[in-house]
This record gives sequence, C-alpha cells and structure tokens, in this order.
Amino acid sequence: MLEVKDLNVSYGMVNALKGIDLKVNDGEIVTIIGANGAGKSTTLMTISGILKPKKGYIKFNDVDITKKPAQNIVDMGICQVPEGRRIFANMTVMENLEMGAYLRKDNMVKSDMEKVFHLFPRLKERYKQIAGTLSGGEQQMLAIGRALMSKPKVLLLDEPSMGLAPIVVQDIFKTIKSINEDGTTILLVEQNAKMALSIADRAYVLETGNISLEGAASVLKNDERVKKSYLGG
Amino acid sequence: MKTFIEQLINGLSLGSIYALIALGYTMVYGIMKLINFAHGDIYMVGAFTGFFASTYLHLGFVPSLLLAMLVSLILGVTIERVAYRPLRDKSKISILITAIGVSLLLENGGIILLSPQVRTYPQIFKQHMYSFFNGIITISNQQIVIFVVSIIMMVGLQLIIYKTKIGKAMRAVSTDPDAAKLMGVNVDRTVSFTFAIGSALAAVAGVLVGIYYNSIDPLMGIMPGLKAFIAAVLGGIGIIPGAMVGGLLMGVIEALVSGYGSSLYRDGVSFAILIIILLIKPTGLFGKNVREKV
Ligand SMILES: Nc1ncnc2c1ncn2[C@@H]1O[C@H](COP(=O)(O)OP(=O)(O)OP(=O)(O)O)[C@@H](O)[C@H]1O
Ligand SMILES: [Mg+2]
Repeated sequence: MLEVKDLNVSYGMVNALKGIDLKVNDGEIVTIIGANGAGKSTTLMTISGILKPKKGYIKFNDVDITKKPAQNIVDMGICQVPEGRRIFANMTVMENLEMGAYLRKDNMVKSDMEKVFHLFPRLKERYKQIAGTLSGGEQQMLAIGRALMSKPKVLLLDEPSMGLAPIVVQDIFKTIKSINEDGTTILLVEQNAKMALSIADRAYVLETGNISLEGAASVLKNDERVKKSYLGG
Repeated sequence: MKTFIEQLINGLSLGSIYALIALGYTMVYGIMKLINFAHGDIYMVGAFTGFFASTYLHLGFVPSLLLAMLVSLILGVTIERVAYRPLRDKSKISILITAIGVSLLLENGGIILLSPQVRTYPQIFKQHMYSFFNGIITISNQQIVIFVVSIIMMVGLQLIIYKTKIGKAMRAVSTDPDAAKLMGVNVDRTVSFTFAIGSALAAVAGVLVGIYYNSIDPLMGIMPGLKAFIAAVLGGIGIIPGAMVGGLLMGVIEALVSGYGSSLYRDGVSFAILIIILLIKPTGLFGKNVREKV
C-alpha cells in the first residue's frame, strides 16, 4: 500500500535519512522505533509531502507521490498526527475537527464527527472549548480525531505517547488498535518501543538515518539488540 | 461636553479608517509574520482608483468603492505572488527589505505616473450636518457613510473568518502553517486570499479618506500607514479584534489631543500614549500567550 524506497532527506548539511526502505501493507500496523534524532519524524514529514527527499521515492498504491504537494497527499488518503500534536490552539475542538475534514466534499462529515466523539467522549463534552486549554491527553485525542476526520486510508502517528501518563498511554494505544480494526492502516512512530511492539504487526528500527533491523513485531520484541537498546535491558 | 462629543465622533471616523488599514497589517502579519510595508501604498492606490472612477468614469459611490477594492486586491495579490512568495522560506529580513522596496516603488511610481500634485476628491456626498439633542451631537453625512461602510466591512470580515472554510484555513495557517498543510490546506492560496482581503479593506479606507478630507496624493499612504501599523501593534499584532480596537483608539486619542491641546502635539502625544500602553502590555491590548502543552 505504502512503499518507501532509498529515501534520502537532508536539512542543509545534515543527512537525516540515508537511504531507507520500508513497506506498509493494507490493514497492518507498522511501527518505526528509534532513539532521539534517528530520523523518525523526518520520515513521516517526507511521506506527508512537507519535506522533499534528495533521492528515492514514495509510492502509495503504486502511484508515485514523492513530488506531490501536501494537500494532494491528504486528499489521496494519507493523514498525519504530528509529533507534539500541533492542534490549532486558538480554535475550538469542533473547529479543529472541521479542519481535519478540510478537503472533504461529501455529506458524511457530520456523522464522522459523531464517530470521533464516540471514540473520544471527552471531546464531545468539550466541543466548544478552545483547544489550547485542553489537557495534554485530550489534545492528543483531538489530534487523532482531527486526522480521522479526513477519512484516511493510512494514518501516520508520530509519538502519540509523548508526555502522557502511563494510564493515558494505555488508552491511546487501545484506541489506535481499534482504529486499525475498523480498517485503517497505521504507520506508528514511537520511542515507547514496548507499547508500540505490543500492538504492531511489523516493526523497523531506525538508527541515525538507517534501518538497522526489521521484522515481525513479535520477533523483534525478543531480539537481544532491541531488548538492550529500546526495552531497557 | 460638546467639544468632547464632537471630537469623539471625529476620532471614531478617523479611527474607523485606521482600523480598516490596520486589519490588513495584522492579517498579513498573522499569516506570514511579515510587516507589509507596502500596505499604506495599496491604500493610496485604492484612494486614487476611487478618485478616477468617480471623476472620469462618473461612477457613483458604491461602484467606485467596488472598483477601488478590486484594483487594490489585484495589486496586493500580485505583490505577494511576485515579490514575497519567492522569499517566504528565506530569511525574514530579506522579505522585510523587499517590502520596503515595494513601498518605495509604489510611492515613486505614483509620483511619476500621477504627478506629485495633490488632487481634490470629487464631492460624492455633498456635506450636510445632522444635529441631535439640541445640537449636543452633530454628525456629518460623510461621517455616517464612514461608520456604515466600516461596520459592514468589519462584520463581513468577521463572518468570513469565523464562518467560512477559507476563513478557518486562514486562522489555522496563522497558528501553524505545517499543521494546516497536514490537514490539506493549500497555504499559498490561503496567503493570497489574506492579501486580497487586506488590500480590499485598505482600498475602502482610501476611498473613505478621500471623501472625508477631499484631498489625496501619491505619498498619502505613509503617515496613515504608519499609524495604522502602530494601531495594529497596540491591539496586539496578528489579532483581528485588536486591530479594530487599536485603530479606533488611535483615532480617538488623536482627535481628543487636537481638540483639547493643539494639533501640533497630536502625533507626539498619541505616539507617547501608545508607547506607554505597550510598556505596560508589550503584547498589545488583546495579546495573550496561549498556553501550550508539550
Ligand atoms: N529543521 C531541522 N533543521 C536541521 N536539522 C534538523 C531539523 N529537523 C530535524 N533535524 C535533524 O535531523 C535528524 C533527525 O531528526 P528527526 O526529528 O527526524 O528525529 P526523530 O527520530 O523524530 O527524533 P525524536 O524522537 O527526538 O523526535 C536529527 O539529527 C535532527 O537534528
Ligand atoms: Mg520526532
């Protein structure tokens, strides 16, 4: 479904990605784990069309999307929940969700908003609240809800567990799993390798711009190198 | 009391005009963090378009106003497209210097094309005074036109920004352009739209000033441009209601200072008051720090 080949991305002199290959199949949860600065966010931003690669390509359902502008990529069905949530802080919860449906012209937007409210009842109670005043966990729910409003075929998630209490992280991951069960393919970037590997089908380990390991999540969970570097020994 | 009310009405008329100009500064700043120095000159072009439309084409007030809005809108969008957009990802300072260059180009181009002479605006509305409450409140028909037109424009703007899709996109881009892109917003188009609206509002201010003061010239944009910019900062740059209130406040302070003191001190005293307000509240009257959680 999503295919990344020999992707090279740099910021000026800094080579953030040095030729990575990865694949996401229809219906999967795939995770990319890696330390700070490994290039995880760079990968997602390049898929979303915000960053342009120096070399390599990205294909979505066999269509080359490498040079397409960000709005076309959203329109094709790839939507991202960026690192740090980046909700529109001075707009209401409802307006944030409407922004997620920005490109949609069908008349199912209202009922999809109900679905998001069903998934996150706390957003429903706060639909008129200014998004910047939500708690961190609620902001994460909003960021996910906002992306779902675009009806993505593939949802890219960048560190959804960042800065959240363990119990909230559990909830968020349960929700991610259920979004996947409803038919959305997921590419999940995480530093919380334990949680990520527990819900993913397959995983890639990214180390300073290169993929160092890949395989089934259940296998990587027990890999000595992964245990040592990412699962705390 | 009578002077006070008189000056208040004068101040609100002038302030409405400042507010209309200030909105363009604040919207452009909000969306691309740029002080568009050419904005005062777009206002000048609007005033001249209105002048030519009514003097030579013999158009009425509303058609002249619409034509002025259209010409300034095209000018504003073109300036953004040609001069600012190629520099948007470059350093802030280069785009700022470009804006100053565009401003000088329009001012000196105006002097060459239109001659530096001051033109007399046609009397679209023959002055007529209305008085209420035994003459305590007197207001001219021109001032009424200024109020009515400004209110229509500001209400219209609020509707666009809060009720339409493109308005929401403008707000989203001004908080976080990349996040807006991730939701499918075409940032270039949104920026163009912002310049279009801001420039059209400046043209309205230009036509209203022509009607109110009867005279226009190619350098007329400099001083009101500066004052409207300060009004935008005073209200909190990037914040739309701030620009409206800042503009009105600026006009009222100016009118009261000239009414009670001397018009010689007008600019000095009003700038001093603004400096004091900004010392107390550096983010402007409406400026606030949105709490962000990480
Ligand atoms: N805007 C930028 N300008 C210059 N270098 C950057 C920029 N953004 C990222 N980098 C560099 O690119 C590399 C990869 O960064 P990236 O943000 O993709 O890492 P990450 O894996 O997402 O890290 P984290 O887990 O901390 O979010 C880092 O070395 C970083 O310093
Ligand atoms: Mg990151």
